[in-house]
Amino acid sequence: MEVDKGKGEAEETRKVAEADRDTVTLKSSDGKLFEVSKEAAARLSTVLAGMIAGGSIDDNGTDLKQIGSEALENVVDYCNKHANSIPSAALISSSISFNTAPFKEPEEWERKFVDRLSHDALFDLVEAANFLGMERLLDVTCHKISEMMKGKSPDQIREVFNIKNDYTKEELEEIRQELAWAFYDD
Amino acid sequence: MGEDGRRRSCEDLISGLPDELLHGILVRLRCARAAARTSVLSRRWRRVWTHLPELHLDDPASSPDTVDGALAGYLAPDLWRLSISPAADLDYRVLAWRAAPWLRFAAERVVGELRLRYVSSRPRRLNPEADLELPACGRAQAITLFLGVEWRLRPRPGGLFSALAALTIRESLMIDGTDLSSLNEVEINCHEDFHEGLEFVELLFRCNAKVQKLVINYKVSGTPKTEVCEKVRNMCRPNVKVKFYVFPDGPHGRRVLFDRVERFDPSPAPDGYGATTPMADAAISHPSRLRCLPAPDSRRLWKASLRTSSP
Repeated sequence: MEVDKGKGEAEETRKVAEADRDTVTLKSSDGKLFEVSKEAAARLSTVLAGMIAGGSIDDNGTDLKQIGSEALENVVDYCNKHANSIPSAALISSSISFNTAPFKEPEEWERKFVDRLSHDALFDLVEAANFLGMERLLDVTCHKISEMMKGKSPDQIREVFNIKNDYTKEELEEIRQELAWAFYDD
Repeated sequence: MGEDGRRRSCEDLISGLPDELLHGILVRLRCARAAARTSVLSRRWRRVWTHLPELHLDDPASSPDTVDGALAGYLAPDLWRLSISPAADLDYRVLAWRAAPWLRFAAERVVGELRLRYVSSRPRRLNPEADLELPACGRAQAITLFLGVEWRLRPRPGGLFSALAALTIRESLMIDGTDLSSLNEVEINCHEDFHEGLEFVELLFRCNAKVQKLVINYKVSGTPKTEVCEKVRNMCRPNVKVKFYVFPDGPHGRRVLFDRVERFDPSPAPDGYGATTPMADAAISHPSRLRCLPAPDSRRLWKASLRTSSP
């Protein structure tokens, strides 16, 4: 499904299939083109669904200036895998509301999909999913990040995510006292 | 988002995410304590947890003090899900005065689901009796209360549960009136005293609840006796789908639909069934009339029905 070729070549291909396209072409911030099924894009991304419905899809590649090619490749890959593995009804019910619906655990293939990502790629993907309004992909990526936090001490979490502690010692002590209910030993 | 190909592995990529995404991540810890502990990571994280859409205070280490602390520190006006399940005190007791402020908090903030489980492992009779006021949770859509003690749960008079669509209450006796007009699904669990469940259903009908589905889990050993079936049958009303489940392997075993009750035709009532008085009979077969009656009268009607159908 995914095409990643020179511009001229891609344009030739498009002219042939122009009449009744069932795919949309997306362009990353660095100008690479990716093709994804129109049905999957509309189903998985509220932003793309809106663009398709509103006719603002550019056949020469819809510009997604905020998304790099590596992240966009993962987005497209996810859409294609999703189209092949989950009935749409299950997806729709799980993606109605990111913050309010009970979580649906990631499927096995979704776990594998995010597990193989590098730290950088994971965070690029979470932002891409957020930008494109892809609730289910947000679920899966946020779940992965939360798993990286689970069971870890604040020091360990800082280490995993390279978070710089900018508190003074006194401030830290004050917060710990205020949140004693969260810090007492299990 | 950074440029592709640039190695940034030593950068902090998480702290720059918008709050909404950090909430999405922290909520999946399913533990308010763990989420709150991120406050000490850096200044950026100081108050992220205080606006989480969900608070889960149900890990085994949660105590009533944990719940008090978390609710006191939470700052957002709307909370989508509040799940509270603290352990009992060291002497195995649960106390109504501890739970009262949690319910008041829920009434103000919860806009989605409230789950409160506060039970004791001690025999029921050893827990102090108490009244627990249930303030009007006007924005909550689903409430589950599991209070395994000798408490009387009293909805605050005149309270309006305008958004409530599902309510599960276990083991507490609910009395006094309130408005549950948007309620459409009810599940009750009966362990020892089936009368409690009846009282509750009575309350629902008195409160104009437009119940469409009523699930009764009869967690009592042995096959339900004729008078129990009769009581369930009295709950059947036109437009109410009643599911009556029994538990042949004990209260924690499998759940089986008891179709001897299912087959009852709720209306019209057959001639001379049971021992109901003509007055109660009228209440059952003309529920619209019952709903139109002022609360004290409808209450009396149902009391009459209950009395006469008891063994």
